[in-house]
Amino acid sequence: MEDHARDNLKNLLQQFFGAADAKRADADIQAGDRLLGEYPAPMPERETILRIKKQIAATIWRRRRIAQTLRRSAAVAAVIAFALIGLLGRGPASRTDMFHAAAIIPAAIWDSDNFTTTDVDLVYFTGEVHQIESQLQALNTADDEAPGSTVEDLETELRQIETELSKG
Amino acid sequence: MSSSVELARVIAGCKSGDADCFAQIVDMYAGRCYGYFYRLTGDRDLSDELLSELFIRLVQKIGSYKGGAFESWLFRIALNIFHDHLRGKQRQRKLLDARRTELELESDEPRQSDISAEKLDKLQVHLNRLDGDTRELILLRFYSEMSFREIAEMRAEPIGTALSKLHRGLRKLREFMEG
Repeated sequence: MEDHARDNLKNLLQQFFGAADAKRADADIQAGDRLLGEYPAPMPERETILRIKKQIAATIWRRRRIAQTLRRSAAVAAVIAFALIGLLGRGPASRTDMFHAAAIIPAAIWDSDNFTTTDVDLVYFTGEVHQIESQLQALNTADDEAPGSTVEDLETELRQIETELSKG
Repeated sequence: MSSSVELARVIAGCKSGDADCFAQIVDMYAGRCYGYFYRLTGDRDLSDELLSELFIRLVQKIGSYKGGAFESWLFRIALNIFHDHLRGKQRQRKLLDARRTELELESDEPRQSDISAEKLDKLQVHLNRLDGDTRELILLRFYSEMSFREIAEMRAEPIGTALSKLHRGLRKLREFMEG
């Protein structure tokens, strides 16, 4: 027992028991302490101490791993949260978004009704479209005419054959 | 370097998760804590288990140690572990009793003590004759080397009551030993 604790106990005994009783109590307590000291408890086995140290090392390692996993999970969760906020939290298009989209359309469209004459690319593409339209029209016309004439020719030929056959 | 400065350094190492510092704490306190558990239980295997539990709990709780007497903090954990063990033992006993009643296998022979008498030294036998609370107080004071004020505070009882219990308990123990 440390000295300061012994002094502290002596003072306390005097406070609570009065001088005479405190002296007797102190003697009893000292005798009890000696008795406990005479019968020392066994010490832990060396193997027990080694096993405990191993268990401690394993516990520290496990706790570190858990902490790392938690940190990683938190980082991934933060990234997902930011991504979701970016995707879902945009709401209706703002005026800035609209101006940005309008900038894709050539300025000529806003300046002239006949925009094909004021934009070179548009002139080119319009010409292309017109050409394709006329080619399609020509094909349609050809389709309409060709099969019809062929049928008529065949009918004429068939009538001639029939006439010749009926004449004998 | 003084022992308190050295202890503070080791505790700081423990707080940063240094296994070597924990190993040093084990070397410093294992003997006293093992003695405390052994005198409370009288069983070496059980004392081994409780000692392991104590140091594992130390690893888990070291972050909550905010300074002050380290022994006091450590023995508070040790006492809680012993109380947890007693509660577990009581639960086990209740389960066993219930099963015994169910099976109607109650024997007329006296129930065998938890601790084999041959394992115990004379002091252990007489310590077991004291009531649990007084035994706990005597052993906590002897092994923890805490001041009496700290002990009374830990046990949440008036200092005068704790002093009377200690005095009566030690006197009784001496009478048992001499008788």
